[in-house]
Parts: sequence; structure tokens; C-alpha cells
Amino acid sequence: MFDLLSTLDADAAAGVASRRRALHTVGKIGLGAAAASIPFLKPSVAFAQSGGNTAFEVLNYALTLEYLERSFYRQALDMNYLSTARPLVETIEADETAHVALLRGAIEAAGGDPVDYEDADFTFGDFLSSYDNFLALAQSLEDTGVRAYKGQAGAIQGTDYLTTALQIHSVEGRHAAAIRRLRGNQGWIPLDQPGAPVPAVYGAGNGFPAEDNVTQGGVDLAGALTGYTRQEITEAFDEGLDMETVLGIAGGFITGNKDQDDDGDGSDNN
Amino acid sequence: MSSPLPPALAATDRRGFFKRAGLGLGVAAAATTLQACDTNDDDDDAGAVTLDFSSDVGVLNYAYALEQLEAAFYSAVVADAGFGSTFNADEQAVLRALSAHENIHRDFFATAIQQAAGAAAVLPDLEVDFSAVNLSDRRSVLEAARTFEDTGVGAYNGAGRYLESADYLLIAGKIVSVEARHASVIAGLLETNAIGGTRIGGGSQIDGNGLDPAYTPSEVLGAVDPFVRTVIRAVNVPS
Repeated sequence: MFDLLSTLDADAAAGVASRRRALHTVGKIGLGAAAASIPFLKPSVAFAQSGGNTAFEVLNYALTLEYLERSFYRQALDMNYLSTARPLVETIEADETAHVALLRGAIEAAGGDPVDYEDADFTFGDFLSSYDNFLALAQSLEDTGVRAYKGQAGAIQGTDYLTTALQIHSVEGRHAAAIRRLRGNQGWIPLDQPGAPVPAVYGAGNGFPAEDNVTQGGVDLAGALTGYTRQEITEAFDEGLDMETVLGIAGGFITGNKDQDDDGDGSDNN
Repeated sequence: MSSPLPPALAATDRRGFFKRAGLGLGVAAAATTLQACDTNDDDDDAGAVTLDFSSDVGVLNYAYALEQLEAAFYSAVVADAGFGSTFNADEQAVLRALSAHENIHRDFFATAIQQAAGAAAVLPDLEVDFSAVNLSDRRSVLEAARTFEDTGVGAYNGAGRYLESADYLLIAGKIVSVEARHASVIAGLLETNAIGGTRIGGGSQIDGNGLDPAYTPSEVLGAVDPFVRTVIRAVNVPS
């Protein structure tokens, strides 16, 4: 199978540096022993263009996040604390599994190589040690997923992938709200979610404001509209997040060495 | 599911979709459908508006129309005299938040469209009709809310590709995920562990591929027809 992106290696070096910076930030947000050298996406795929992300990059990025979420829910389903939430977690796991299959199919149909991960390539440590910890990270991962898809909409605008990505994006929003409700939180994001276990999930990214943003379409809605609290205005709009920042959040959980498999034999090339 | 029809056929087309939409919405919505057919006869009294999808402004007005509808609905819900007894404290908090969010969305679009294209480009206020909803009945309100939210999600998902501006696409994305959050919370109030209802035409809102629907304007306008007296025509919808 040929790699459509292999001709774009020229810009990959800058991408690797960028990726390393992103992964270094993991240590600052308290996720434990995250290695800065975690293989994430193959450089030629991950950062093929300096000016923007190609559709393949976006799809493999989305696929990686879906693998991450699926692994997290599968590992939680192996625990004995889910109780009445088990059917919901099973529903969400099934959705993430469907997203993995869908994205893999889309990449393969277009002649690309989907990244390969197994459940064991992801490590969540204390986040799986209790129901409360599980819910806390589930909320963060879902809210991150919502921001991640939104952040790439412009990169795949005008392609056949946009609508499908939007159809996944809104399902992640549904997941996020359902998990939030299990925690006794509101289904939406108030301000920048003070007290979040991973503050970067709700913070500003490269070119994207934090979740407590109140300026939309160039209009300061807190000033322009009357009758609403600032918190309500922030709740009414979710914010996007860039790939580098999202990888900084997600990278801390990727401890396996799975990478893209070019030869199609199912083995790990690393 | 269907290609848009020329304006002259829009009204008939709309009714066709509207009947189809009723199929997926269960018994309560079927009753709604019958009443709405009656009120449909009065539509002309409320005037008609046209959404022209040949420009981003038309797409924004489409979103504005849906936000007008949702805002008016939740405003009516929280203003109902029985609101405090019909819903428990948690449900009241949810519905108050939804009312605020949808009113903010409505006001935002009114402002944004005026800024982008002038006051004359802003869609007029729609005349709404929630007589098919029993505002003092918990289930009636929540089922209507679920229909609005699920339909809204599918509407935004379907309309994203119509937008030429990346900035508008991002803004639509900022709103649709909040609509999805609403839809999930409302579904959870109606049924434990549920995150969505039934899609237009039948089947689970989230399909076997783990996807929300992406609706055409015809499908959406059909689904909301029972609640809008103003005739809404969609023209130049991209195929």
C-alpha cells in the first residue's frame, strides 16, 4: 500500500519538533510519567504540511483519539465499580468502537494507512482506580474530543469528510454531557470548568480561546447582550482546540509503541 | 434523503416531509402531527419567509430560524405558571439553562447576521405555535424538547457543508456541540442512560456507525413544521 503523504516529508522535521513540545507539556499538567518520546503519529503523516493539516492527518488524529477513548472505556468496563452506569458506558464504548471502524475505513478507502493501536497501548493509572476518578477523566476526554473535532473542521472543509466528522463531533458532545451528569455536573461547560483534573482541557490553545471565552464572531456577547450571566454565555458556546494542544493532553496516556503499519502485515513497525 | 424542490413546490414538499417526520416520533408526536395539519391551514396568515442557501447569510438565517424556535419554546416552558410544580429542581435548572443558551444563540445570530449583511438580511421573527405541547405535562415538554434538540443537531450537521466561511463553520461547530449536550441531557431525563431519541424517518438517533444524523433543510423544516406558523421556504439548497 502506498502512502500518499510520503512525498511530503520535507516539512515533517518541523512537525516533530512541534510534537515534542506538545508532549512535553504533559508533564506540566500532572498526568504522571509521560515520556516525551512517545511515538504518536508517523511524522510524515502527522505533520505533512506546515500550513495546515491534511485530511489524512486529521483522520488519523481523530482515529488516535477514538482509540484512546475506546481503550479507556474498555479498561473501565473490566472494573467492578460502574454499577448502574454500566449500560451507558457500554453504549459509549460501542460508539467509540464504531468511530474507530468508520475512520479506519475512510482512511483505507482513500488509499491511506490508518494508525494501529491496541487497548493495552494506553495507560490511565489512577484514573481507573475508582468510579469517581474514572468519571473525572471520562469527562475530560470527551470534552477534549469535542474540542478536537471542532478544531479541525476548517482543515477538512470542502472535503467529503466534513459532514461525517460533524456527525461524530456531536455524538462526542452527547457522551460528554451524559458523563457530566453522572458526576452531578451540568451537561455543558461553565466558564473554564474550575477544578478540572486536567485544566488544559478547558484552557486556551494555539489560535483557540479557553472555554470561558465570551467573544463570538468578533462580538463581545457579555457586553452586547443583556439578561444573561457571563457563565451562561460561556456555556452556550463550546470552543475548539488545536492538534498540538490536544496531543499534549492525549499523549500522556499513550504508553504503547504502536505506530502506523505500512506493510499491512499487522505487525508493529517500531 | 431528498433533494430540495423548487420554491413553487416547497409547501407540498414540506408537508410530505412533515408527515414522514411524524413516523419516527412516537405516539405523542403523532397526535402533534394531526393538530399541526390543522394549524397548517393558517400558515398563510403568519406570512412566509425564504431561506436562500446560495450564500452563507442564508445558512446563518436557517440556524437563526431554529434558534428562534428553540428560544421561544424554552421561554414558554419556564414562564408557564406550573413550571415549579411540573418539574423537579434538577429539571428546572436544566430547562432554565437551555432557555438561556437558546436565547443567547438567537440573539447572537441576530447580531452576527446584521453585522455581516445588514439589518435587512436578518430573518424576520417567526410566529411559533406550541399548542401541540402541554406545558404543564412533564413528558410532553421533555419529548418536544428532545425533538427540538435532536433535530437541531442533525440540522447543523447537515448544514455545515453549505458554509463557505471557515469562521462561520467554526461558530456553527461551537453551537452544535452545545445542542448535542442539550439533547443528551434531555434524553437522560426521559430515559435512564439514554443520550438521544429517535431520528426523522425512524431508527435510533445515533446509528450503527456511531453517528448523529445530518439532515437536509427539507427534513428539518418538516420536523419543526408543527411548531411554526410562518411558512419557511428553502431555496438554492446545494445538492
